[in-house]
Amino acid sequence: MNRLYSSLVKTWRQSRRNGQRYVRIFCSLIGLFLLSSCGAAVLEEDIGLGGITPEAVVESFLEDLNAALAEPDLGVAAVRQAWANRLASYFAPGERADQRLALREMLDGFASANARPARGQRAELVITYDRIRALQTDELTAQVEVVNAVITVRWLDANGEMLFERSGALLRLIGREARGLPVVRVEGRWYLTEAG
Amino acid sequence: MQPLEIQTGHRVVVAGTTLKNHARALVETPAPHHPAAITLGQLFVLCEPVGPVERAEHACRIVTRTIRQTFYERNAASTASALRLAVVAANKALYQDNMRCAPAQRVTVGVTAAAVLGADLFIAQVQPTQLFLRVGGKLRVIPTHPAWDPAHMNAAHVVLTGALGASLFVEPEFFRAVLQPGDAMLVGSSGLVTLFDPSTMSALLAQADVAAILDGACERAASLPMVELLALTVDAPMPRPAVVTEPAPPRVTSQRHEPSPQRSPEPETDPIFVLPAQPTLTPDPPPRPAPLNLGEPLAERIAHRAASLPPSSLLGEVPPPPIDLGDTFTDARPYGLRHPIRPPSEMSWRARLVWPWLALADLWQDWRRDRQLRRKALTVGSYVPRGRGLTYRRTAPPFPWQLLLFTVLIVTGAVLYGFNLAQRNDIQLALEYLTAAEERVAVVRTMPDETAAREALESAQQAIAAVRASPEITTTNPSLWLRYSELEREYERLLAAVNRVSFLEPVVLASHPVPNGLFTTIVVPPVQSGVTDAERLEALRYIYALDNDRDAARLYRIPREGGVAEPYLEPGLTVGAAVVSSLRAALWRIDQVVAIDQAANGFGYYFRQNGAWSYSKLGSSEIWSTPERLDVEEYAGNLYIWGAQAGEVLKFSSGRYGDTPEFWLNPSVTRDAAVLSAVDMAVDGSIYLLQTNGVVLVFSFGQLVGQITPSNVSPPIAEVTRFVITGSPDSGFIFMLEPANERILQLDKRTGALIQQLRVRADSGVSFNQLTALSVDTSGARPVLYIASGSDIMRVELPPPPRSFREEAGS
Repeated sequence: MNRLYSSLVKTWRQSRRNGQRYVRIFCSLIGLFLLSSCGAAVLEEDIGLGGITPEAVVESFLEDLNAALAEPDLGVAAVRQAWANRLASYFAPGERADQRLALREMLDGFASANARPARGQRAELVITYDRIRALQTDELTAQVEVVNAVITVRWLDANGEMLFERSGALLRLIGREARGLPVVRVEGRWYLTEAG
Repeated sequence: MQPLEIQTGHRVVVAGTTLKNHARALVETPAPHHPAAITLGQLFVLCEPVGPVERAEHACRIVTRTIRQTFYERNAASTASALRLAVVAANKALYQDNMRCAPAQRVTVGVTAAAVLGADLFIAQVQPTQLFLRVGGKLRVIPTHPAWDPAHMNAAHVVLTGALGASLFVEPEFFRAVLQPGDAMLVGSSGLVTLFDPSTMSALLAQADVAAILDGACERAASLPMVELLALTVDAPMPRPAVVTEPAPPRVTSQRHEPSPQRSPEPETDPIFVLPAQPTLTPDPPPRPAPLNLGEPLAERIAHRAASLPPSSLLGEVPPPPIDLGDTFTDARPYGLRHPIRPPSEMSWRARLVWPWLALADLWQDWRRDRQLRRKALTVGSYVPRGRGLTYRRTAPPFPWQLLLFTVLIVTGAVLYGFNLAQRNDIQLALEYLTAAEERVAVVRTMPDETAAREALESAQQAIAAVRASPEITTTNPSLWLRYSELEREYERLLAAVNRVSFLEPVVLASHPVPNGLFTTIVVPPVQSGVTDAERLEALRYIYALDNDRDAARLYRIPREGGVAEPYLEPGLTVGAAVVSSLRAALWRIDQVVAIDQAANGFGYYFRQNGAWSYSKLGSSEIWSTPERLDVEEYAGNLYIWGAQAGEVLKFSSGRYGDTPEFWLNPSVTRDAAVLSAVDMAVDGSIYLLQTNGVVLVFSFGQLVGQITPSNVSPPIAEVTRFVITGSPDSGFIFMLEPANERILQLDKRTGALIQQLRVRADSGVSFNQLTALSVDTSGARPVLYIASGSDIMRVELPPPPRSFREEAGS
């Protein structure tokens, strides 16, 4: 009986050692798969959205910018980073990294200012316009005009009542003297650019 | 027992000449003291050569010499085995000799070898030699010849391929007989049998003299070109003297007997081999065994039996019953055939159809049985060392984990690679669809007019539908999903610009508590500030809805922020002296919700007073017809009722609901078909009547003052069911419900121009195909729509009018 028991224990230990070795191999393989998946996920943060037309990319950017400024959770850093990534994806690939940083700083500043507004309880920033039209378009570049684009800042009290409002032309506020916003075509899609 | 006296002789006659010196017969008698004489006995051999005459003697010499040497020198266990070994050795020797010659020079030899040991006669025969044996007065012939047995159809005796020297394999026939005095044997060539009949041969062998037998046979065989004969007779033993002083030579009277090589030419008497004195007569001799009863003579037996007999029957053996080697299958289970084969003509159609499948099933079962019974090859891997202790137990081979792991990894890798490849193909396909759809959408902005833009939009819509159907366009694939989202965004933008379509994302506030129940009316209290009365504040916390149960319609209240719809006023409830009947209408009047029911005695008006329901009968309502739909509106405290009387608006002045109402419309218009076909009414100071084609009739002071026709609506209105007016009489909007096109139209109240079409996306989870009620709350900063569709009540902000992507006319 003792012999039988000892042989069983020996066999079980042997199989367990083999099993542990195989489990380690499996874990290594799964880890490799997961690492490759993570790598793919990191790369996908830099997706360039752009637009299918020059007007579309400008209009989408402005809509998303309005949505980002109206985001109730903008005080959360991760939310600001997600919006910065999203807004930067409308820019040309070569400028995307810089724009991501700039937009992140802009959203950080807006969130910080909104936490301690000069007047009232909170501020509201809205960009309005009548329509978007392309002024000039060629194969690779275009100028897009945002007709009657106005950026408006409202200071509201705790009940949402407006205390103060101030508005100005969008292009003048962002420092562009030309009438339109430049867009550039990269691999079939249109992107915002600062090069124009 | 005294040994029998054996007399032998042989003779070979070729073409009438008796050969003196030949090797075709052999008679070998070992010395009495030799062990072979005790264990093997005397040997008699006769050969019948077949083949070229010049080599016949040589072949017979090889055979007789080999038989003699092998018979006496191989130390066989018995005489029969010695005979067999001797014949086989002789065959081999002759075969090897034949192989050294040309085929035409090869000689085959039939041989009959007999050995006499005591009273036993052992015979080994290879055809074509013939043997005649007379034992106990009965004649046997070996083999049986057709001439002696007409019923014997076996022709094997004439086949010479079985003779010695033709093949390495030879199987002699063996026979045995017990000799008695008076018995005789004649061995001859094959042609001899045709010259005798049984009676003649029996008479010949009855002679006791060997020479007479040989002479008789030779006389008969004179016609044969060649005949070999060897005869043997058995006599009773001669009485021996009491003392033998010198060994007596064997009583062999062969005329041409050659001395045996074992026998010394000068036999010297050795006392040690001299038998002691034997008594000639014993006082009590042992009884002789009774002679064997061999039955009737051979001739009679042959005459009686029609069937062939085996050669052993010549020795007295009774042939066993014949063995039936045919198919002996029976129908009884389990020995019967599973599927007996029958001619197709005897098979039914069902059996013919089933037969191939049964055959396949049998093949499959046979294959499986073979696999189960197949012995596994013993390999190194299958060797299982026995462990210590309990070694009688069967030890299973170690499980091949490494092989299993390797196989799993290979299969997994192949599967993953296949999946990856298929996914890449699908992504490529989805990208192509996506690019095509983007090109179609981009074309829309370049269209010169709205008609062309609408056509381009339809084309783009089809392309987008194809993209949407792709399984790769999911949120798990961000790059494709974001591109697709941008595509849809741009498409909706263009749709809004061209068709003025805005997509809503409503929030469901409540669902009807009864399955398949519908809400027909929504009552939304306006947002009011500065209210301090608790009952009014309580009333403002809810919205109200009336369901469509014609017999027992209830009024429900639902929290503004959403929740469960709870009955607020229901049939059967006692209110003062009245009992609530099925409710037909509900509306907001000044600061509370009011409801109207239809009872047997007329229509009742229910309102809240001091936290409880109160009742007042509407004046003269007992004469109202039972309307399909009763529409009740309130303006400045007055009640306006549409549907109680055909083509007429009844007006109850504020505070006088129990009085008889006044007819508000001018009698000149009440017969107008347009008025009679109106399906809904709205009041904002003027009274608006809606027709199903979307045209709105405007009345003021009972007179028709105008009509509003929707314009620029694409697709055109099919059938609108309800409408809502907002704003003052000279401004505001008209909202029309069109379930047929699953949309809400927002029109300019002054011009009828389309402001926008409100729709929901297909994947939004709600549907507008059962639009039944709408309420627009304009008391807030932005208008809020409360929509009843199906069993749901939804809320959504009114979106801003869509932008046009081209220069507006006149702007």
